Amino acid sequence: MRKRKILVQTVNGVSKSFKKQRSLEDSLKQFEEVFKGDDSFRVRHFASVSQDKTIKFCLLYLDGMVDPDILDTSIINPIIRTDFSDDSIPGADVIISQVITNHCAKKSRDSQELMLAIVRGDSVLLLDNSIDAIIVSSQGWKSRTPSEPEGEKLIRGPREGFVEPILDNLSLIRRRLSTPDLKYKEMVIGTRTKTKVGLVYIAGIANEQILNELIERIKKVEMDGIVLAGMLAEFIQDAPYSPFETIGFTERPDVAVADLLEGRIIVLVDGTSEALTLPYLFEKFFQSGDDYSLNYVFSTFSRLLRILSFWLTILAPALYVALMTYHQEMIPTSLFMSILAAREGVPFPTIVETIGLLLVFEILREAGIRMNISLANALSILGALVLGTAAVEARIVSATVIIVVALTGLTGLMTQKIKAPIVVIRAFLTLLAGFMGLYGILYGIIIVTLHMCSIRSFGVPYMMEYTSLNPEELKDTAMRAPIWFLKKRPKFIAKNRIRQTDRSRQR
Amino acid sequence: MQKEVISQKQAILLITTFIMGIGVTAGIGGVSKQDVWLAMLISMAASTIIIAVFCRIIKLFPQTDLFNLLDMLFGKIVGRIIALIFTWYAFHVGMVLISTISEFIRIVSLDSTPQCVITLVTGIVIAYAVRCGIEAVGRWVTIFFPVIIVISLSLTLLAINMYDYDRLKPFLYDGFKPVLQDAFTLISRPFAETVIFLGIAGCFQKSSNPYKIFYYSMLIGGFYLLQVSVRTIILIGTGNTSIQMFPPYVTVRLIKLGDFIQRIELIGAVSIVTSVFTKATAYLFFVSKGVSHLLNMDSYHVISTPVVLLTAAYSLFLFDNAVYVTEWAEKIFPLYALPYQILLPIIIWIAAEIKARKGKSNSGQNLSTANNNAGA
Repeated sequence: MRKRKILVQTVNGVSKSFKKQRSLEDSLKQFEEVFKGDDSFRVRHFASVSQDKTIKFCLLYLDGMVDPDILDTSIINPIIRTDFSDDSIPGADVIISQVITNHCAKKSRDSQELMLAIVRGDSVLLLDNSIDAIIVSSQGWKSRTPSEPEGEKLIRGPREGFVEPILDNLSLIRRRLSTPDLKYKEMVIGTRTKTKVGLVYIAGIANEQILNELIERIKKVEMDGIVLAGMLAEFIQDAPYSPFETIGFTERPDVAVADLLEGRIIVLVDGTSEALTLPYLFEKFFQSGDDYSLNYVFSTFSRLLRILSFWLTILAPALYVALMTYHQEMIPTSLFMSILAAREGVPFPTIVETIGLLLVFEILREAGIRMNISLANALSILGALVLGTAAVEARIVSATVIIVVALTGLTGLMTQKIKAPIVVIRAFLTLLAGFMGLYGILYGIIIVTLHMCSIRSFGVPYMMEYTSLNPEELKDTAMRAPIWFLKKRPKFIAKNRIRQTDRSRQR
Repeated sequence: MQKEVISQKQAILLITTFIMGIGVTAGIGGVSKQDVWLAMLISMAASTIIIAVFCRIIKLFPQTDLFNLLDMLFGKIVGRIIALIFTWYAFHVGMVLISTISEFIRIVSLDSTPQCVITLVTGIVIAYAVRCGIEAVGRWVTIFFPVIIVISLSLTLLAINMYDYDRLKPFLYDGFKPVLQDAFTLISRPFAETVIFLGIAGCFQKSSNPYKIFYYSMLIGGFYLLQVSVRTIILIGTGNTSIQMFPPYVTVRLIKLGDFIQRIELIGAVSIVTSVFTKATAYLFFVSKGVSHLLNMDSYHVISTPVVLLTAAYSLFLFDNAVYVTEWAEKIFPLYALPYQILLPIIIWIAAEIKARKGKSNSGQNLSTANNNAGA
């Protein structure tokens, strides 16, 4: 019991609330108490002087979070210049409606709300002799300009990408989707970070059941802070133990808009340039924004290529182990002879050799991602020359296995989006191949496909489009039919399924 | 717990794959030899009758499992005894199938691996499939069915230069009796075996038509088996077919295309193992559902793992060797399965007809309460 209490306290790291005082000095003292130790906390005293009296004001803000111009022109300047002589004591309402020239100002007496406003970069105007204070929107910080995301480059298509502030991202979406049906629902997660999370969807297309389920799941999240979109995704996605992701990520507003038009829901998280898209089904792994701007024959070809490389990257080492260990008769004799000649003198069994080299490849890949870019040359020399050539010449591994691992790695690079499942499945299948040969691989694939068929993303089966056997739904999976064939939105995801008229292209 | 639903197309593919799952052993055409195609056609024609009975039962009480139906028709005690008998039958055949797969794998390639290891791994995979639920398996089949069909058809095409159509002659050399005998065997295995899908019928989509599901799968599966058995006969002849343990598998070994494509029988084995695997999974679904119903459990997912592993363990003691399995499947099974495949379904059908008529005359009162019971 005691333990639990402590846990709640630590998670619930909210600063103590207080009851705001009437007098300016007293309430200022309260705020200074809260922000004690924070040297960027600024207090600006000023007053409006008229013939008979002096009215004191006090502006509270955090340096660096606010735009000084806004404070100057819309708060301090108008108040100092206003003559309050007619009124007895100006109330907060009067000041908001007649004096402050900022587009967004509201009164509040809730200490939590006032503190949050200061922390978020708004400024708080304290009035003398009033229990209310005024929150004036004054946020002004630097953010980078939208640039094309490194991880999702396209040959043809827009060059914009999401940035970190949530409202900038919303505007990137809204600029492409001029309809009042585009809805934005804001929620706040994280007892300490108070991260804004925005659900974007198109009313009338998005499925309300999925939306309600999503809102329920987000409401349940109780944590001190959400820093990345991926952290939120782990809380709300289905099949949380599965290596397969059932929530998608994108950094491209055009992709987000295409998803919205399919009836999916976009979740924006403040402070990350990634948007979550859901429901996310398996075929999305193989789709790319380029597919829709390039010729449909070519897009279909590249999609098939991606699917083929998915299978190759999980199967190549396993097949090699199975064929070399159990089923040598399946390899054409001349090929088998040359593999055998290459293996001559290698001390390890095939399975050890393969798994060892796969591990080396993964280490090289991870090192390549984490290291400083100036070390790239050193890494490639180390990888290619020392590990590759020297290991083969010293007869520690055979050349064939290097080819197999290189093929695995190359095809793996092509399907980066499914990295986590690929690594797990590849190791699983390779071990099974060493254990039971091709039958092990078959059993492994059966288990993997069964798993993919059994998981769901927000109630929508993960493999729905591949397994429904409905020609309408297969049009945008392994192949990419011409755009005018894609008449309907995906089942279950969208409420309203018709997306184009029959007349949209005369044939 | 959300109710599991499989669509009509998925159901067709599931039952078709189930029917294909016979093709491992020498089961097809042991007696009729070169006239196996005739036996096959006759058995397909004859099994339409018994399959009509299955479909009628499903049509009368749609969205109802066999077990709830038995409770409804015969009361709790008698219904449960019949459910127990059916579950035993499925358990027994499940054992036979698991032992078939593991024997097959051990004999054709992993000859130095102990049988129990292969059986255990097979059991684990089947247990996982049953645990995932019928809906996941229904989806899974739609991925693997095209694989099986493509493999089988391409093997048939690759072997085309080795066909010797004279091996189908002489026609009816031994008279009509062996053909009828084989046709009888073929009714019980695989066509009337679809009786166990009565236990899964509650998962069929509401709008689906049971007649379509069963007859389409019987036709597709039947012609697939016809193709496999005729291919075997015209490739290696009746003499070789009768002495080989796994004739369809052996025929694939003959395929040789240039120097590159050779000894690809393992690819054939993929389609064989997958289809038998699907069949075993369907049987063990039935067992898990039966056990969970008899123990008054809400869901069969929890009980599936122990049930399947138990089946796998028992399958180790079931047969001394693979020859015995074949013998049992050919000679004893058709008679052994007779009550479960034909007798009991007919009794259930008659009871169901009576119940449905009564329900109609009582303005659907009984039926609705019965359905409520079934739902609970």
